[in-house]
Amino acid sequence: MTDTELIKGCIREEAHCQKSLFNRYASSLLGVSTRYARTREDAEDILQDSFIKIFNKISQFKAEGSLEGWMKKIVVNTALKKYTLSRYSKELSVEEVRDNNEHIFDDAPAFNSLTEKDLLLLINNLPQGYKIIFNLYAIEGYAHDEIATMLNIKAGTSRSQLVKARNLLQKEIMQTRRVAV
Amino acid sequence: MKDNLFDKYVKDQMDGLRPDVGSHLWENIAKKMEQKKTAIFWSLKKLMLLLLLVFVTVGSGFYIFNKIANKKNVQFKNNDLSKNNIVSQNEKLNAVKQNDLLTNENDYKNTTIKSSNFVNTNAAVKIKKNSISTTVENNLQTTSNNNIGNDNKNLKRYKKIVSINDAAANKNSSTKKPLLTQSNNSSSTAQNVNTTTYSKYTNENKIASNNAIIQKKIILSNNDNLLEENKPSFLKMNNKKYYNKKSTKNINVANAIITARTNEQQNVLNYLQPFTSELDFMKPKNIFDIKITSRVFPIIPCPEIEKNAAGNKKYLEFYAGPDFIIRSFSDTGKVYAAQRKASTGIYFAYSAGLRYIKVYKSGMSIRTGVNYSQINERFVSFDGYILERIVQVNAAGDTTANFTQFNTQYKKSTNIYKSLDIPFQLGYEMGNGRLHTNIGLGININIASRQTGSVLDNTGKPVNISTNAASSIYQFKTNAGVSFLGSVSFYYKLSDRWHLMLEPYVRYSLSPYTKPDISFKQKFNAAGLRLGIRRDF
Repeated sequence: MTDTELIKGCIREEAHCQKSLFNRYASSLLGVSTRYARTREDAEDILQDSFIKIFNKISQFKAEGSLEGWMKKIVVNTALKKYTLSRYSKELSVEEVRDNNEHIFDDAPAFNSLTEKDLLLLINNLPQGYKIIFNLYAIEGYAHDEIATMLNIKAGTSRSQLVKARNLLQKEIMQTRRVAV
Repeated sequence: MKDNLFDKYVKDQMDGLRPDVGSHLWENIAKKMEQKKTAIFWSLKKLMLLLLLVFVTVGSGFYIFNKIANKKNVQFKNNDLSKNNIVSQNEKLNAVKQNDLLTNENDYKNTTIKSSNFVNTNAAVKIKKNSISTTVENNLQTTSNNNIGNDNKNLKRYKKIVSINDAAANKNSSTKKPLLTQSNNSSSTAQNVNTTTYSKYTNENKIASNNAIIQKKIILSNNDNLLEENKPSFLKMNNKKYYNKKSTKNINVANAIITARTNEQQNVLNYLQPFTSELDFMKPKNIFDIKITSRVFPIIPCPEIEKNAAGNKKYLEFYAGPDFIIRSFSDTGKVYAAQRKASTGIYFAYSAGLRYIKVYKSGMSIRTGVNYSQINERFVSFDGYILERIVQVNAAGDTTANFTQFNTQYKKSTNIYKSLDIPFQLGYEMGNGRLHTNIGLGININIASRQTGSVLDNTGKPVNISTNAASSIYQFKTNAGVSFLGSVSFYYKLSDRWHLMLEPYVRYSLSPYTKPDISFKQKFNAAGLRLGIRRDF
């Protein structure tokens, strides 16, 4: 069954189409929600809510982009709503930091020793504000202006938080590598 | 590694992340979808019920309004007609006064009593033997030459009836002695004399119809003074004296008379009474049995003094009272909603307001004004454990004991939610005399809402929700939007101007009180009892 057929079936609220869509994309979307959530249970909650929104709003989907991209946006928005934005706003420092492409370490092989799960754990260990911005910018591909609008912060704040998040994550990776060594 | 390369590395790693999805997830989603469908169904059902309620209320109001309006129209019609009739009747009565003889063919025509026996002189008049009180003195004369034969027959029958009545009258002479004597009129061919309550006076009526003339002749008694004294009111043209007391034996007619309260009406009724009271077949059981056109029996409505609640009235009312708040919490996850609910509790709520009411003639009413409501809520939050270590030392400084103590810290505060609303209500007011009722449905438009206090955020920490504090997503809306309002007001009239009011009411919020930025939704619905006072101005 193609995505288009699944979409049509979901618009008609056919249960088997909805289940097929879930089976096809649940794992990928759970990966997205896991990056934002604090715990596994939270990630599952986000996924559940996201799928309900997807089924309710699938008729609004325009086939301009990929279905998976559209669904990922819904998951991200649901996660952001779940973890209320004001809290992040408070955590975010207003201090502007220049994004100077500083090379913290050049040891590329160090990254190769990390698994997906290790990296996910490190990302999840970041402060919530850093984690959100890093996820939105580095993984989802949002621009700083878009992030600023989404989180109701200044674009400069988003930039500075990204730099801090990136530096912190790189340090964490280095420490993990050293321990492993 | 450059930042962009690092980002790409992380992105590639994360894109490949495919955690295992438990089977329970789909079950949960399917369950929630089903619940949502059910909720939509119930929402539609509620909406339908609401519409039905509105329909029934409006329908009932319309029905009652129509009923009242029809009743009033009938009264007004009768009133209008009676004005003309009264004039004509008065003219006729004046003629009677002057001539002491009433010849009025039209009166009989207008008296559309459904009895052919009455209008047809050829028909036999049935009079009860022993009913002295229901006999009447009539002289029937047929003047139509064509009907002489028939008239003679009738006269014979009539004489027979008269003789029976005379015998009955003599039998009862101890109580009622006939004062009348028989006499022949030059034009009459027959006479019929009956004892009657009207026998104390004399009257001569000549009534002609198209085919026959009924002539009523009452022979004067030898007691002129008594005659004058007992002269019927319409002959005297004395409006204060309505009718001879002894003639009120005909209760049914008297009942009908009660409905006619003007002097003019009484005169007309009085005039008709001799013709109607004595004949069994004409005895009305009630006013509606006498099918008399309004020309003869004008019905003038009684002056209405606060008979109905409806009318072009304006009121200003003040009220206040306690509210029972029904809270509803919802969230995508159940845990946080449960925490929010558990951490707060309503302990007092009230509302007060000032309203203007306009009640139209139909009973329909509009209400608007200003309503202030306040909800006081207790907030208690668990703030975690505080570890306290107590080290006991002796004089030498050696540690003798070591205690670790766990304390629980709570934050307690009072949350206050204030709202200022403008209510708009359509209603229907009914009732009479001292008690009025107004059933109203409408909306409450919020002008402003303010809050002070604290609630839990999703990490379980207290967060300030005060309106003027630093912006927080947990703060509530400063405009709560629109809510439905339904009320039943009971009014007790203390005086002409002042009414006491008791009003149970319900308020249902259409939108949550929480900001739309968060998934958590909280609503305040209310049911309350207002006590107030209103002034008619």
